[in-house]
Amino acid sequence: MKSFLSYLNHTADRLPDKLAFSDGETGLTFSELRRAAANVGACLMNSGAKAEPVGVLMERSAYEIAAFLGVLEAGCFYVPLDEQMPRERLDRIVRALNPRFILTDQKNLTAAEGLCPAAEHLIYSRAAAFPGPDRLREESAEDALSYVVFTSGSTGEPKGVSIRESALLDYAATLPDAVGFDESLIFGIQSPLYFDAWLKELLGVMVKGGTAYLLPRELFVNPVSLIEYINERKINALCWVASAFSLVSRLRTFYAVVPEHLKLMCFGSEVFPVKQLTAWQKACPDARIFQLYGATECTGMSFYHPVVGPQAPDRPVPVGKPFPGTKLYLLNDEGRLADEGEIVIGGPSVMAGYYKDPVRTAAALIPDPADPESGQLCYRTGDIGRLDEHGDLIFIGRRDQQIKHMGHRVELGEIEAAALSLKGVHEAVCMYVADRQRIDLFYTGPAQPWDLVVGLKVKLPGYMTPNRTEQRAELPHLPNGKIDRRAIEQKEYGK
Amino acid sequence: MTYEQLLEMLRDMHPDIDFDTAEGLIDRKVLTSFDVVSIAAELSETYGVELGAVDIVPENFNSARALFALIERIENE
Repeated sequence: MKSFLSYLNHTADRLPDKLAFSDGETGLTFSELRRAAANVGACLMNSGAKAEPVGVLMERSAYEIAAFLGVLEAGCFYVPLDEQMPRERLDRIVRALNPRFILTDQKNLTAAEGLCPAAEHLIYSRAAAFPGPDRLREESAEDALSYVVFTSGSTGEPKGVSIRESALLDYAATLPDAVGFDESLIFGIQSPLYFDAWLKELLGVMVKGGTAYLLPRELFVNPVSLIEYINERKINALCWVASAFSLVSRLRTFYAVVPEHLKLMCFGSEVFPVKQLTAWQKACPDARIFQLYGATECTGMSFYHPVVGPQAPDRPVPVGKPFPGTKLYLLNDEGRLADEGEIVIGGPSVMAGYYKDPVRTAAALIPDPADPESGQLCYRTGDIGRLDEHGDLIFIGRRDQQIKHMGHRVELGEIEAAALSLKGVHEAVCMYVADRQRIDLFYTGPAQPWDLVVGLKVKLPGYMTPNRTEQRAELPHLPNGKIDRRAIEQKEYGK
Repeated sequence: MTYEQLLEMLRDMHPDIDFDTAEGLIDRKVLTSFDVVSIAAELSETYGVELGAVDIVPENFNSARALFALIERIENE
């Protein structure tokens, strides 16, 4: 099978001196990126790494991207770790992986050693200076994994989504053409690198020869400066979560400054309020806009829909049609094909499984509903959808307690499990207030709200910590003993 | 809007922080960009205080006092 890195060989041959990635301080041209990845790969292989997980704990930078690609060059798969993840989550990830190698930088070395004392810690700057080959490898093993990213799991144990290199190749062959990426695009990356969201920009750069800037996080508390930064660098393509776009328009940034060069906007992962979408359309009338939809378990995005003209406020924006090669099924509660039901995705983008977790893998992957004998597995998203009159997929909601909060996938059960692990918490229930984008936690027990706020900060990523924590004398129950969420909804929100 | 009302609003969002004394809320990443949006929305919806885009800079959100000074400025305009 051709390797994912062959794209970088091709683009670096064509555009050796063009800027590929920049974090504002450091930039790597295509030839520098290829050189760094080749050297890091050679260093890892020289250390004995082979088809195994390599943890990457580095600052969000152009170098971190080179480190990920270097791991692929070594025939291994990368697992992004991040200083922003709470310690307990990092510990769980490292326990699940038990990596022999960690790539890190000087700033994170002490943290990496504390996290995983048994592993060999390779400093990026040294690995990137190791004498490697001039070109990256062109071939990969058919079943090679490319990365494992961890997502929220309802029991509190994060799930390691394992993605094959063949799935990444499929993504590279579909997304860039579906949304019209080309060499003229200059991306502004909003997302952290420890999820899969930034793969869109990676493909725009590696496959099509675009350029991408890692936008500094702090700019998002200063939207006028954010847009000025974007304008100064002539950034013309933004693939952001809808809440990041909304944040800019809700703060009335466009009265002060508008993006001057924008040609392409892609949003996904959550609903974009029509009012905010309209504000962007007005501010950037020349931008082509796409709604994307997909799942981490299916290598990012699998569906796309061009958003053209004014949108009706009462009608959801469709998530559209699948990429070529992606199969869509809607299954009703009996598991039969239906017009409305759970969205099931099939095709080459489906994950290999949850890392070393056969039980949860078996619950998520099912035989192809249209061809159960084929041996192909499809992913049950847990999302409910239907097809509209144009054959476009419409997202309706979730069948469980998973929510999208600030662009992140969050299992309310994981927050509840974390709360229940704290001293003095007897019962806990999390509610999502969608219209205010707020997570509320109600609990019983002698612990004070303050204890929960502090306790949960250590256990959960920032985007998962409740926005409101309230103690209650008791919580309503269903006859089967489960907490009655509907009753809480009525009592607390009058719904 | 009074300073006490502002403190109460902020405490609702982050009960673990003593907003009366805390400094560098943005610089130390205590408040995120989404907190800033929530604060702006809450000020507008509940108190009718409309922050302009140019007001959304870290200096105005680094402490409750800085934010209250901004609110007073807007209310007196």
